[in-house]
Amino acid sequence: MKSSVRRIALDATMLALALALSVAESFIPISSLPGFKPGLANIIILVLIYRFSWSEALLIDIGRIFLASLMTGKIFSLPFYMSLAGGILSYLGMLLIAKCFSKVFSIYGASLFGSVLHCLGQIAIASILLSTSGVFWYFPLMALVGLFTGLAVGFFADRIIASGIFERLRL
Amino acid sequence: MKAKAFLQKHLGDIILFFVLLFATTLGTIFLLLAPTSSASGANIFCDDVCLLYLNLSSPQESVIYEEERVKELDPSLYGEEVEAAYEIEGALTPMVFAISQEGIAVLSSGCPSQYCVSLGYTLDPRKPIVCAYNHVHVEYVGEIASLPPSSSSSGVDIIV
Repeated sequence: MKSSVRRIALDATMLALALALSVAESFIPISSLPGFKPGLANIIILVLIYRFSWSEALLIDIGRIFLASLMTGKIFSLPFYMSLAGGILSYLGMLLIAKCFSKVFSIYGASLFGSVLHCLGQIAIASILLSTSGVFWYFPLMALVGLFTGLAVGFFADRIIASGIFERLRL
Repeated sequence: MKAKAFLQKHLGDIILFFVLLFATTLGTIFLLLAPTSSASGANIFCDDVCLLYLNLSSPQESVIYEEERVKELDPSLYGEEVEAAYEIEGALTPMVFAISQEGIAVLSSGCPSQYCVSLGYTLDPRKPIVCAYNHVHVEYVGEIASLPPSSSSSGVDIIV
């Protein structure tokens, strides 16, 4: 019983953190790349995938996309669908690396892969919904910048897990 | 010893990073070296409906496809360099497009990011004008007769 209460509290805290990072990064201006976000919320998703369970990670990923869109007034608009597609595709990529290729790649590899897939998901859905392939012009540059933010995200996720905070909290 | 252990642990990550770095750098170089547009016009789409054709060589011969969603504005209100200006109804907010010698620009939009406005005048397909918030995008075209390919518009409403 105690353990499930702790787990609910952990999920709520993780969702709040992911949401705060999601909203905070929308204030980082990278004006030459439309809609580009560093994907800081992926730090939380990576920690959940590697330290807890894939289902909690999925729930929190989708939950924070819905809540962040509600908070910024973008729910069910094109940027919302771009976030959703990018978020789900990057989650699937990171999960694939974590579960199937964990002997080859570490959390850094999962983060890099997730970051590039996040850009691809956003561009692909924008291309489908706007019926234009023109937006694919942005992909190489977005993915290039995404590689470095992916490295940073992987570093922070790795440090959080290595800090042993979850062991100290008996989670 | 430490370096060897690090390499053993992260060899896959390092290879993945450099493969992705190579691919994206190559893509970016290709993008930067691609030829610029020689378009003579541009279609402005909103939600897959072509609202307006902007004639770049002769701005006065632009074509309004959706009269109820496009309004012609007085270009002199936007500066001497503006040859024609139009206000279109985006999915969420109105947007003002202008034509000058330098190309097409979004002069104002109600979108929060203002990315489309920040592009300034452009004719460069490497900097496609897209406003995700308003579901608006611009497609460059060569000839007025070749358009609009994906428009669900029933036909030309007005030629200005």
